[in-house]
Amino acid sequence: MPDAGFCVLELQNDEVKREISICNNKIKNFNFYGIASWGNSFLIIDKNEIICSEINKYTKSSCINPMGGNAIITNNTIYGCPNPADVHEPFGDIWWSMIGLDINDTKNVLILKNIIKNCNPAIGFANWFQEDELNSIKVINNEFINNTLNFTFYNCTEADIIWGRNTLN
Amino acid sequence: MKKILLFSILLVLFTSCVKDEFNEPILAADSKDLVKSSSIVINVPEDYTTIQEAVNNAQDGTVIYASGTFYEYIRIENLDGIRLICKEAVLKLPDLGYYSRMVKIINCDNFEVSGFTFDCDYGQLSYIDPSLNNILSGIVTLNSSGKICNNHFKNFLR
Repeated sequence: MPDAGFCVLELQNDEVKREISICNNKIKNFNFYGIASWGNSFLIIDKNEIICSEINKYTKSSCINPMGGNAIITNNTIYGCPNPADVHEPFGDIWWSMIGLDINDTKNVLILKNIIKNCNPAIGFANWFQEDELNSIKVINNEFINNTLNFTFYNCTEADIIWGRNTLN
Repeated sequence: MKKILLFSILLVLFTSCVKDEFNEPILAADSKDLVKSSSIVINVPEDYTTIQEAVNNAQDGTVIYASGTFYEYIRIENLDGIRLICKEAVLKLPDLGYYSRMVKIINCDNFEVSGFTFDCDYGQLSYIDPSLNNILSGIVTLNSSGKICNNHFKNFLR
């Protein structure tokens, strides 16, 4: 459950895997969560335009946060905020602002052909609650533009991810 | 004698076929067509003035078409196959409480929400919960499956 702020799409699920498609939406002017899920969801997030406009001053926030579930994230345009390096408060020992994709404890994720711009970081990978919760994570053919950090890793490493042909600017 | 025997055999075969036909459940394809053809279509505001009223009168598979600007929270519960489709509809906040969910979908499989504009501009609201930590969401789903497509969400700034 979110603990502060406004969440545009909030998808809560129990242990039964359920599929939700989120396609062709425009999500603009938010500063907490754009799309967030809890539980064993299977999300198909395709061709959305997700534009945050300002940094949340109170807590970690992200454009897409499929926590604990499974997701196919393709063909989305994800824009953080005009000044992604303008961090107001540290979260633990990592200084975040608006995270593009918050891949924490997510079991299986395919991140393909997205444009991620002006985020900090563009993608944050994390094992929060259990070791090796991240299972199959693939990051292929994405474009990263003007992010303060492209990737952060918490309790996991770059070697845990399958990478392919991404463009880093 | 042979004719009688042959007739008897044919009669037994015929009756068994008829019996099987009557005992056989309706074919899946036919039943789907039946559900499709019997889906209720509700137009808002023509049939009901609010989307929630339409939902309250919906059943599994109901299609709700909405057009206009609506100031309401919508709760959809235990309805499978319900479709909420916009024809130029804007959903706005009626007020801002501690927990405010513009659309909440609970235990619904194969739902659809498409074509809406969700506008959370709360600057003009007459009531805003004084708590600093009020939580607002556009769509919340709980143990549900379906699709959320072609919507526009804006002004979710705290």
